[in-house]
Amino acid sequence: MLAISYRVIAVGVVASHLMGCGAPALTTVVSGRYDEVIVSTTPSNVSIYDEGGTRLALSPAKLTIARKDQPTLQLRKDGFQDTTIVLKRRVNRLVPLSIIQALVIGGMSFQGSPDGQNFLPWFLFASAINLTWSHLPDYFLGGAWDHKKEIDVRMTKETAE
Amino acid sequence: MGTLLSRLVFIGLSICTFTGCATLIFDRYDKVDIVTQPTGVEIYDSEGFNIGITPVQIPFKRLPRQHLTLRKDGYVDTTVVMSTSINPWGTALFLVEAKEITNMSPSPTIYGTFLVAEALFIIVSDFVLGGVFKKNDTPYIVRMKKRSTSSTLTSIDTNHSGH
Repeated sequence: MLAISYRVIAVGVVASHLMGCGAPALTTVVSGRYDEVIVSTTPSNVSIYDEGGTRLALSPAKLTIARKDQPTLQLRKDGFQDTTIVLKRRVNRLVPLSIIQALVIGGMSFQGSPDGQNFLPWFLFASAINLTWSHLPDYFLGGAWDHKKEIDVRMTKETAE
Repeated sequence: MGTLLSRLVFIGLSICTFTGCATLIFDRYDKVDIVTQPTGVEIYDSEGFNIGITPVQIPFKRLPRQHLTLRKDGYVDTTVVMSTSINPWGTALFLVEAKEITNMSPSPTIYGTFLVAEALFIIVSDFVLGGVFKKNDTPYIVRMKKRSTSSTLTSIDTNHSGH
């Protein structure tokens, strides 16, 4: 009876994972969909603009940006050359954890193969499906991405002509 | 077999619907609009970083409460507390998740332990990461006070629309 109960729960959990809700997008849940980046400049009090020309902040600034975005910023200050920086995204360090979690749950989801012998193919099958449904959303929601936490920009003085 | 199948479908769907979704659905961050009169006010966080210039929409972590300072030349510095309240939808999910856990009766094997541990982790994460909380739905509207001869600090705790 215990074995049946357990299997019911195990299959329920894997069903939830397959449908994308059990612990999907683990890195998005843990990291959130936004990232905080500190932009410092030498000298300070440099205006930071987005691509649309909207003034976002004054350095040193902490910008909260969507993890999946790679915004281009313009730095402007009187007497200094305009500088453009791109906040490039990189892969979140938590991504391996999400992959391991998906593989473990995939492995737990099938307590045996239908023929009772060849477990490995079922383990790979369950893990692959679980990986697809619980890890892929991270790339769309943003949790799979990360940005450099601190960016220091040295502004160049304008030369007198 | 029919009973087993129905239990399987019920548990699968209920866990799918309710387990650990609060933070995933609502995210750790909540967007807040900050509007000031006049515009062009610089917003600083508690660490002294400029995080925006009004009018602006900034995503804030649902936890903890943030203390912001609004500054503009010729106006008195103003402190705004970004309060955090209970997210009714997130809390509903959280309560159902807790109910799901109390109904679980996994086998005493290592797999059963894993299942309970994971389920508990998901529930706790909703609480710790902030899925069951929210920021104000309404924008913070702050009227800056012109600086007189002596400078003072105004403090505002905005629980609702933040006037």
